[in-house]
Amino acid sequence: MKRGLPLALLAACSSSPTEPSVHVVVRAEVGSQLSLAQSQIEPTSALVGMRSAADQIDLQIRAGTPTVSVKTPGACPLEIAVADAPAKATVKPWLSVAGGDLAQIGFDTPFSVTLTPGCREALTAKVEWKQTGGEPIELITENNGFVVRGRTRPLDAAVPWGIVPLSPRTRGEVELTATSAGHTLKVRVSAAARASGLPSLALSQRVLLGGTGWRVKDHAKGGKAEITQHGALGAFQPDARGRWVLADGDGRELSLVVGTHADTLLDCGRSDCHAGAAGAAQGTRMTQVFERGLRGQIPRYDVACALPCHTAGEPGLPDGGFTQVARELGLSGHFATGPEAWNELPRPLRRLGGVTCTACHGPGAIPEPAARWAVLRSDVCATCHDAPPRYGHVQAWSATRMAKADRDERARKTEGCRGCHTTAGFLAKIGVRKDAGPPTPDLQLGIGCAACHAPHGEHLDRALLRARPAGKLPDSASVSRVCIECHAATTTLLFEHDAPGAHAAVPKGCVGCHAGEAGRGKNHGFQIDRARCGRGCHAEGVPKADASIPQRIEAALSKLGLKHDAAQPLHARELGKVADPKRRRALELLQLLAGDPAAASHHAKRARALLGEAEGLLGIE
Amino acid sequence: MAVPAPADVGTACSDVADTRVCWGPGPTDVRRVERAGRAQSERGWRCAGQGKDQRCEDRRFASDAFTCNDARCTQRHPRMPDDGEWECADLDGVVVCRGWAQAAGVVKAPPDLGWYCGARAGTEHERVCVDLAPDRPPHEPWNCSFQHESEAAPRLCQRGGAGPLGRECAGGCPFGSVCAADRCLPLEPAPGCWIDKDCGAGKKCAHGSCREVPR
Repeated sequence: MKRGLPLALLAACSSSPTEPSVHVVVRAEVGSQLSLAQSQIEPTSALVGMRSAADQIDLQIRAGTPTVSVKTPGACPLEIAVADAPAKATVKPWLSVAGGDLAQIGFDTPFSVTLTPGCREALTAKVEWKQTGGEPIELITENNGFVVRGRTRPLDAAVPWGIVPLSPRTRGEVELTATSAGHTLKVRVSAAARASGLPSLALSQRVLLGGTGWRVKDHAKGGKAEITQHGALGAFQPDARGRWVLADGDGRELSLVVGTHADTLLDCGRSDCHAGAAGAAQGTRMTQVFERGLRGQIPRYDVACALPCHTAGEPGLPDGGFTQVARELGLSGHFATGPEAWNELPRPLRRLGGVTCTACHGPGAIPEPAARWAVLRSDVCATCHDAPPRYGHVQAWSATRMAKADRDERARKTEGCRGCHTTAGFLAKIGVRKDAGPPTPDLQLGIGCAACHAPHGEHLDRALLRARPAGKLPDSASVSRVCIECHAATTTLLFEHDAPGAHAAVPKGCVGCHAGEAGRGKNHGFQIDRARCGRGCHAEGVPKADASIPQRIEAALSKLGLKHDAAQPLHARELGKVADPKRRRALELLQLLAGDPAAASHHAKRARALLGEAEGLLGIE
Repeated sequence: MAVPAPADVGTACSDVADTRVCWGPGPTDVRRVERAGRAQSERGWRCAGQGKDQRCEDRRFASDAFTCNDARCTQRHPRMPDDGEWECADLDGVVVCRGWAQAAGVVKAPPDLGWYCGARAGTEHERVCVDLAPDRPPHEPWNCSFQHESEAAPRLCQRGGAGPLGRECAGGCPFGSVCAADRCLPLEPAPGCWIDKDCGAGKKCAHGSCREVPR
């Protein structure tokens, strides 16, 4: 819940028992639009002197006065306890919601939000409600707007076996904004907590379980939580730290580690552990984003809005995350920004201020070896990067063939295929980590975020694109070097000969043309940006690809007794050894051409030359 | 904020509990002992440095307040030397911490004010830091400790005990401290040990510093 700015009056007070009066300075917060010049001070007999301006009042208050009230039109009164040393100022917000945001209330579940007025003036003002975020839901207001009712949307996410991953898009979150007399109050209502699918959970984080017949097999020490039903799904909300074992109706087990963000050690970077990974992550924007925001280095940075994704933990849950610890330290939703703001943040909050280790890996510390593959799933990134329209990355990627690269069972299981059809296999192929994919062969993860992005490894830019050796690609295309690890046929066509085509010189290489849609993260659809082509070399229109090339490839393949089959591409077939050297060479050329479905667009001249050579070898006129 | 302390003398000065202490060049040479008096803040001031270079900040900036009942006080987020990983102990009101790792994935910030730190003897990466004026609940005496295994209250203070260093000498002063101006005061810190074994023959670890054992 974000408190409205106009309510936040700041009091900078100083007092000295040796002086007959107390000097108090009251300021309106920047952006509050309150006019303090219109304020009334009560009791007036307490005033020795007063100087007021639009955004500040200097008061000289008679010593011995217990309390003074500053009444400003449009705000609840500021009460100053002058007798305390130092003087203390309190102001009630115009509107508030008991308990704050409504978290993990369930899918397809009714809810109501009741506002509490901070003072009599607020009670008489009408409250207007508007949905300002999330998929639309119906809202009904009552009691002059002080109560709003609605119902969360039904679950609309894939349900794999085990923990159901939920992103901001799929967890049924809505943002409601109440407006009253110029004050605004935002309330977030979510059906469920976000879940990365990792078996590393935060205390009190409720997860949904795909599968049937779930029960708790082993409780963590002191834990009493059991499985509950949420529609057709099981639900589990751990109430103790430690290791839990759940089992489904078939006896298949799911081992979970539960912890809190604040209590998880951050010694991952010890020299004998993950020093390299920790060092690489240290300088990334994910680590630094909150610090930069607090320091005022990110324009229009809204700290309160940034908390769910730029700090560890889920606001509203007692999970040891940033917002919970802030509450424990007596700090509410307001954080000062400025060059020294990060340094002045208390240590426990600095440790949670950023996309920290536990933000992605979960607060359950070190996972079991059999569960370590799980961090490769894009659902981890989706907990923040699947929040369209602000973050469209995962949604755009989900529609691509890369997201479905492992939908064929053979691609998931065959060693030779895994290198380009699974994220775990790809990372093994390029030597980043051992191939430890999911133990459940039916789980499809595709070529996910972790294949192309390297938050822990050598990366190229702020998007953390995985750095790869130069190879044939020029420096201007370095961001696309990670693509050519698998898109080898295209690389050969474009770069590996004496006369590279015009597309080889496109800045940024592959993604120079495959730039997707405009909008934050939408480039992860990787569609051809035809408008961009038109702004560059193809101002007269993008020419159509030579449609005869695929037909000629098909004809040449039939000469070899082969047939094009999209479900079983040439590179996935066991073709056997071809004895005749001419036919063998022709097959190599055709495999190369068939390996790039867009060969005719990438480099038509070269494709035609290779095809002509193959046709000649096969005796095709 | 800068809070010059013009009365400071000697080679080093520090607050010890609510007492201001200055040491001379000799290991047991205490030059100045008096109550530390400063403007009030709700949780008190925490200071470092000496003379014109003394700086102070409100204690509430780096830790949370104690939650107390009659017999005990707890603190959920105790003060630590920096953002890294630390294990601490409270010995005679002096907090000694052993640090073994920097915090991974956390943007660096200046260390907390007022700690004396050094490399732990015999280790490659560990450090030892000493706080002579740690956060304590008001109205002494309290006997405080750290319970790192307790997520609910890592720092626990129970009513009673002899009180922290800086107390009167009646009843004797612990090893590693001297009696000066009728107060038990620590020797000037030279942090480098966590346990006696770190100090070698003839020495023991007292409040994070190796000290000669009197024959």
